[in-house]
Amino acid sequence: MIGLALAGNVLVYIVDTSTWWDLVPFRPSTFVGVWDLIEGLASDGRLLVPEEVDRELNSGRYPDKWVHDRPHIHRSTVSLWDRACEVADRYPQLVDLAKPKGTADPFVVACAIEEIDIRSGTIFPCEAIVVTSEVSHLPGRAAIPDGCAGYGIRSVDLYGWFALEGRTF
Amino acid sequence: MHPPLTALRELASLYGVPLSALLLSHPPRKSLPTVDRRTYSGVDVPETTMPLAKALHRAADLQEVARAVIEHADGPRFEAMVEDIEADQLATDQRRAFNISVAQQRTWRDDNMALRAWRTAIERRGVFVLQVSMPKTEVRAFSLSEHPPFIVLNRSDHVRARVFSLLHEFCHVLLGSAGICLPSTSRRAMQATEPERYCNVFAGAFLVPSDALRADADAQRIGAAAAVPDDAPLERIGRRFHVSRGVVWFRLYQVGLVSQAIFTAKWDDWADWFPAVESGGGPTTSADIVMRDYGAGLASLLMAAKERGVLTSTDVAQYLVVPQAALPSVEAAAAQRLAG
Repeated sequence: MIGLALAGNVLVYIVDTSTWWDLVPFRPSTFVGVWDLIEGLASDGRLLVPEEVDRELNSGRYPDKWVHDRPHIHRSTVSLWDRACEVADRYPQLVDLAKPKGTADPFVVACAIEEIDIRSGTIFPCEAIVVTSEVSHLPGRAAIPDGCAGYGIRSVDLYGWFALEGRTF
Repeated sequence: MHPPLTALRELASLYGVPLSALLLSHPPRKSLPTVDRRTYSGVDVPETTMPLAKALHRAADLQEVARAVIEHADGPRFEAMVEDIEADQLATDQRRAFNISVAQQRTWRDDNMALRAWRTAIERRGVFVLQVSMPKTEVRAFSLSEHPPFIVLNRSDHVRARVFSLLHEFCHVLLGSAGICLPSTSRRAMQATEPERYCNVFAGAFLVPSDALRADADAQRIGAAAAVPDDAPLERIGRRFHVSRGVVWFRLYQVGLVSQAIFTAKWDDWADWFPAVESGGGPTTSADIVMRDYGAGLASLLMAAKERGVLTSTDVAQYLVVPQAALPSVEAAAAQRLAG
C-alpha cells in the first residue's frame, strides 16, 4: 500500500481537467494497467474530481466518459463554494477571465483543502495531492500549482502521480 | 445564504465570465481598454449595451493573454505610424506593403473570401482580428490600440461592411488611436471629424485604389456621362472591389470622376446602405469557428505558446472555447491561412 506508506497518511488525489486530457492517449484497451490503477483509487475513495472539472470534460472521449460515469468521486460545487471563495480571494489569478468556461481551478485547490479538513479528525487522516499539468510561465498569471503551494499542498503531473503510486507502465 | 447555483451559472453566462469570477469578494482588477468605436450612421455616442460590454471585455482579456505570450517570447511589437501623411497616400503605401494587387483582389470569388484575405493579411502584420456578434443597431467595429493591437468586427454586420470596417480600424491601429467606431459610408460619416474621416478615406482608398478605379470601364462611363447614374454600374464596381456602392460612389467623387453636384444628388437618393445580412452557410467545424471568431493570428500565437510549453493544451482550448480534441485541426487551419 504505497499510498499509506509515504507520510503515514492516506494519499488522496484531486485530479484536474488537464490530467484527464493528458490521459486521452492512454486507451483502456492498450493501457490496462493505467486504468486499473485509476479504477482502484476511485474504489478506495482516494480519487476525487470537483464538479467543475467534470463539467469541463466535454469532449466525449474515454476519460471524460469515465469521470461522468462515476458520480461517487465527484465533489459538488455547492459543498466547495465557501472554501473556493477563500482560495479565489487569496489567489485571484486563478480566476482567468479570458477563459469563459474555464472555472475549475479554485475548486480544485478548495477540494484538496476540504478533503484534508474532513479527514483530519478521523483515524484516516490524508494528504491530498493535486494532479495537474497546469503550469504558470507567463508574468502576472498563476496556475493551480501556485495556489497549492500557498496552502502547503503538493501538486504533481500525471507521471508524478504514477510515481507516487509506485507504478510504471 | 447563497443564491442557488443555477442562478449563479446563469449570471456568469450573462456577463460572459467564468463561474469562478463570482467567487471573488471584489470585482477582478482590470484596466479597461481605450477604444475607438465605429457605429452606424446617426449614432454619435453608441450606448454601451451588454453585448458591446461583453465584446469589449472579451477582447481586452484576450489582448492581455496575447501580450503576456508575446512578451514572454520577446516577440516584436506592432509600431504605430508616426509620420504626418495624407490618408490616401497612406493607403497607397500600405496597399503596396500588403503586396496584394487589384488583379488578385478581383479573383476573389465572393465578399467572404475578400474579408478573409484582407483579415489574414492584417493578421500577418501582427494585428489580431476577432469577430463577435453584436446588435446591429449599435457598433460595427472597434479596436484596441495598446500592444498588441486588436480589431473586433461585428459578425452581425454585412460582409462588405465588415471589409470596410476592418480597413477603417486598421487605420486607427496604424495611427495608434484605436476605439469603437460607427463605420458608416454615409455622406455624414465620410465627412466626419478627424480621425474618423481620415480612417474612412484611408479605407476607401485602400480598397478601391485610384488608378484601378479610373481604369474601370463602368467608372469611365459614369465619368463621361456627367449625369446621375443608375445603381447597376455602381453595384458592378462594388462587386469587383468587394465594397458597398456607397464606398464606390464616394471614391468616384474623390478621384474626380463625378462632380460635387452629381455626387450630392445621388447620395441624397440613398439612405445608409444596410443590406440584409447573409443567412446560412456558417462554419461547421470547431476549427472553422475558431478561424471565424478568433482568427488565424491569435490561434497561431496560442498554439506556438503551447509548443514552447508556455501554455498547456487546456489553456489554449479554454481561451479559444473549443474542445481540446479540435486543437490539431485549429493549428492546421491557422497555419494554412497564414501561409497561403
